[in-house]
Amino acid sequence: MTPVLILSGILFAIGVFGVLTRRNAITMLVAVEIMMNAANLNMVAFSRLYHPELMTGQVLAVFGIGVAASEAAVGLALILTIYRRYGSTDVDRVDLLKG
Amino acid sequence: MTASDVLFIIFGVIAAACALYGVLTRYLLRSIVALGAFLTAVAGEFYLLAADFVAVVQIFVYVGGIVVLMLFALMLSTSGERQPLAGSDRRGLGSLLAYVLGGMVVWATVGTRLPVVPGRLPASVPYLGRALLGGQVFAFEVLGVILLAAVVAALALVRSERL
Repeated sequence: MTPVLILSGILFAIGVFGVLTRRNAITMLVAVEIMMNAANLNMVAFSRLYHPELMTGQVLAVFGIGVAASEAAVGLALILTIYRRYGSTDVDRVDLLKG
Repeated sequence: MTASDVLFIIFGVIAAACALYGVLTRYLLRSIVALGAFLTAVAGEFYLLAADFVAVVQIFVYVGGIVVLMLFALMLSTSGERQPLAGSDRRGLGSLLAYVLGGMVVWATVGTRLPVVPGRLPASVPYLGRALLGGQVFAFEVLGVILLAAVVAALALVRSERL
């Protein structure tokens, strides 16, 4: 079980690196999805360890997938609206609130 | 080294390699396709952890839904020809933070004494059904409302101004 948890930790770290490094909004969303999948993997792994007949971790993973789907839909709609307005999906260019 | 151990290593290496390629490549389309491959490898991992229903839901919703949605958004938000994206000037801080977080998680995991994994489990669908519609039914219904709200929000955001 420990290798699975280590794998999910490494995948989460890769996702964090992606969110902090990328400048295109869609690629940042890709990194966020990587992080969420790493968390789901962790949930499912722990569900196998403690009370596997209750399936709590797997239920959490299913809910996580559903919430991630809705969040990706709304996030991509926002990105498209911003692209229509500013002509670019580069997050460093959308800086109207900058002081 | 059983067959499931070998499969775990294969899926794990594919997942980590695709995730790394997805966050490092300079082409947006390759990043999204790498995400698709990563999600499929994670679905394989789910299957190895006796979560067969979650694995299938992952492929249906994530690979078949979210990756396609991202490809449509890519299609609608680029100016036409394939251009590489610019790199970032925050790579040092990002990689430092990633190493620190990953190191903390790995260190905490290795130092924890975990119980022994039980033997082979039966198929998860009856237990999952009992949990989703039994103990977790409230969260299940709220998830339906969340999905409805997300669909309405996405539609409200992208419709044209004149309608």
